[in-house]
Amino acid sequence: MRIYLAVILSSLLIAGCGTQVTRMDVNETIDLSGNWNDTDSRLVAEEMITDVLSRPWISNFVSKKGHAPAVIVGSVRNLSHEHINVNTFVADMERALINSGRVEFVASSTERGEIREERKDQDLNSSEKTRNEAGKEVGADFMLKGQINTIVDVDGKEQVRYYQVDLTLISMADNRKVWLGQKKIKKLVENAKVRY
Amino acid sequence: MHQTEVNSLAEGLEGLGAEKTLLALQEIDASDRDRAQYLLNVGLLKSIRGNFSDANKDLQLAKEILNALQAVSVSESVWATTINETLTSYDGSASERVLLHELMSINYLMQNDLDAARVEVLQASVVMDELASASGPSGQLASSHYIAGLVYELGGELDDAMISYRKAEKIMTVRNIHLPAALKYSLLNLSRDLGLDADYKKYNQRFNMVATTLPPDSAEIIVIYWDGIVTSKREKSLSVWVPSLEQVVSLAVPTYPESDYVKRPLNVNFDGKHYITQTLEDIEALAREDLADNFAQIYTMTLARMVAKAEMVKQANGQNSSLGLLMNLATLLTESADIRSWNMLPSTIQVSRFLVPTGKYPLPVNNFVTSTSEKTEFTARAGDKIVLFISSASRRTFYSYF
Repeated sequence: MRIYLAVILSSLLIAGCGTQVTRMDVNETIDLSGNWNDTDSRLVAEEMITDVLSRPWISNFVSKKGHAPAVIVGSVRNLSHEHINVNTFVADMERALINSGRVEFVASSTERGEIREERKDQDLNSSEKTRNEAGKEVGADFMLKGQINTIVDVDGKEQVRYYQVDLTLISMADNRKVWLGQKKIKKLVENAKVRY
Repeated sequence: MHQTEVNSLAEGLEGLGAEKTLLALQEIDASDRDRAQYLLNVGLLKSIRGNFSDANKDLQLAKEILNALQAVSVSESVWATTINETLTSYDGSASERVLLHELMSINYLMQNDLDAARVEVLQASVVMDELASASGPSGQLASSHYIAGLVYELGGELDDAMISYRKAEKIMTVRNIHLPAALKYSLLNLSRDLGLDADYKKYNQRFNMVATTLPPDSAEIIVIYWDGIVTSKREKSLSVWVPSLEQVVSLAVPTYPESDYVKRPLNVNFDGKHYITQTLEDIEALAREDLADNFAQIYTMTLARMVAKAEMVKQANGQNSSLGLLMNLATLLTESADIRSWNMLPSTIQVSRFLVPTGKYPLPVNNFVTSTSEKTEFTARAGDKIVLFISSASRRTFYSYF
């Protein structure tokens, strides 16, 4: 009976462990579940940016047109096994590309709707000096599209997750694909067999 | 006590309706251990009353809990072997883990979010791969593969759709369930569209059907119908002679009573023609199959626990008869079977797929529509694929265009 009671008391102690919070650097890599996380998003964005800026499509365009190319973000489809917020790494890419000074970004179709509404409102309510007219938008020269795919191989509690991110830059003038970016990530996820 | 209330609510769901059942369920104070079961039922009730986005938030939480609980808990195992199994966290049966993804896919389809529905379909496939065994089809669901096929087909991924429809066919054949016409239709049409001539010929001969070509002024309707409410588990007492104790001990184990569910196909009328849904998944059978698969483990643990408790009573009796009496009482009061399950699931999942001429059609089932702002009809345009989701428990029709 003593053993029986000791076991119950030990269980109570184990069950009573509480929550702990530790603040950390945003660049620190922590893999908890094995799912796509901020580190994956950052790594993909960094690799894609380095690649897209090192390719000849920019210099070719500038020498031909005499100005920096305007790019619009189209759809980036999530075809993976996880609900991935693709907006975070698209935003990372947009920021780095704009900050490089070599590319201009124009608002996406959803953003444009809101801006046009605001412009209509300005037309009615803003002073003539500050009002922005319709019909002066910059048309995009290229559209960035892409997809995230995964292959998951499962054996019991072990999984190999293979992510492949493909981005394509397409010329709006003639549908030419001027850049193809690809990043692959492979993870071995071993799920716990025992918990406390 | 809590579980008895949840079981009563599940049993009365069709009479009370999803709205009132949800309110009553939210009144019950579920413990952390029962949180996943609570979220599964809440998510399901929200789904069948059309709150698809909210439903998926609850189901996502349930999914995260169930995933975390797949590892064996040391402390909970101790509770289960010393007191009873209801003191462990509810981690869902094999079929329930797959059905969770299936319901989430349907909810995303109803929100017209094909990519998110595709994510759930892929996750269901991973879970089914984890559960796959050579000994039988446990944890393999034809309805999940069918929904996967539908999601791929709606997204134009015909190769993947064909693979999923084939898997659905294979599982139904293994389980000895007649293939619904909707699945035959998909297998025939896709094998033709993909140029799989040998497959087409095989299906054509086996089903005695030909592929259908969509006439220019028509749309396709796909009906997913949830019928009935799956039976809840009950507690059953077993008396077992234990030679080491030289006495009979009484074990409380979970069981499914005989089902009184009678299949009720949904008969829908479009343009003067009747279309009847057919069974794609028998959840009554799956629930019993899951319990049977786990019964040996449940029985062994229950027997070990009862032997330990009987030993303890014997020792207490030897020290003091009052203490022995007290221990015996405690043993009896603490012994109960784990009768938790996702018990608001339907008894069967049924499907139907057919062509209708373009035009306006009344929603086939809309008994509980109370607000005048709610739509009572929908428009079928040329080339549309319209997915209808209907549950006998909510008696409402929800639809989405593709």
